[in-house]
Amino acid sequence: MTRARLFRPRPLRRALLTLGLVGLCLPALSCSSGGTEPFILRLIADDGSVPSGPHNAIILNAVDRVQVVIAPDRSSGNHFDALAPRLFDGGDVETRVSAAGEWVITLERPYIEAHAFDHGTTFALEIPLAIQNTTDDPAVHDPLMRVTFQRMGEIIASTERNVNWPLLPGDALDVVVFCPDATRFQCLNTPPP
Amino acid sequence: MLQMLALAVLFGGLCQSAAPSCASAQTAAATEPAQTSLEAVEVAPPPPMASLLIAVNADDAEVRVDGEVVGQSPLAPLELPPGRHVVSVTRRGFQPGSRSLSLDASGARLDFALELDAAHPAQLDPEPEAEDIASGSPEWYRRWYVWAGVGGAVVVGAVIIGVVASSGGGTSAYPLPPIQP
Repeated sequence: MTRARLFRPRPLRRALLTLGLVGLCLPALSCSSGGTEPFILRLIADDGSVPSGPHNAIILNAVDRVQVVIAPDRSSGNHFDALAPRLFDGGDVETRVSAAGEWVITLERPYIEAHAFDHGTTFALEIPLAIQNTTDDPAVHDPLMRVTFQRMGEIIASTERNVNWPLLPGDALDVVVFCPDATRFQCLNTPPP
Repeated sequence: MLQMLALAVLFGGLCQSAAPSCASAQTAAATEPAQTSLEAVEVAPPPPMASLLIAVNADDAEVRVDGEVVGQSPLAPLELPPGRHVVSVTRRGFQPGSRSLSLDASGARLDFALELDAAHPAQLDPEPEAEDIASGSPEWYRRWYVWAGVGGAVVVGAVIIGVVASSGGGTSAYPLPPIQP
């Protein structure tokens, strides 16, 4: 049997060759898809349509940092394990666990600009979270979520609420962030009169 | 007829050097050969063709008529001049067949029942590379490099998609660790 004949694929060999190459592709495809679906945390800036209370419009240009804190119930001993700060998206996103056992994600202006859906007097920002544990442990109480919009180091809008735990992959949670009267001009990125 | 044509040509040549008195005779003679050549064309029509249907019990067999490849089975009926012809049929893995026939204007049908060649069963698996190149009719889907190329393209595409997706083409998800009780 000649060398050329050895390397000349027969139908079965051809099929195996193709299958082998396709098999090589599958790991690459599975890596790119990231496995399970993320949980989507959707932050919505109040549009100020309600004329009283803390309802003031927040425009996208007024916000240069967004921070989300998930604070477990400390009284029950719940906490996040210590985690060194991790940077994503070129350093525009940082996740860490604080000394108090709270998980903190901070989004800087470039990320906000690139990913927010701007609607003029309001905007929405989606934060995809890869959930690492979906076990509903009764010893884990629903944590508190604090969201703040910051401008030049000052909190200009915020909201606080409990969230059902665990968060589930593929689910989404809308959180409206309110701008109090005290910072209503900052929320519109205009100087106070 | 040909004798008359030769006489006319000879007579015309003589007249060119002879007295003008023969001009009338030349004209008369020239008219006659013209009619003669027309008749010659009419009496020699193209030879009639006869239809020959060659049926083979295996597809893709190479069919030759008088040593010339006319195609592969199954074949449409061939139009051949009547007369004696030799038809041969070859296919890998089968014993070749060859027959001669005298084809007349009414046409004919020739059936070939090729038998498996037990001595070369491996040839049933077509290995057309060299012959394909020689005949200029490659079966592209049987080339190993076509399939290797297809597989390679799929791999490259998957890698590109993976790189684009992981490098900001899509938003990555930020890991949220579990709460410890």
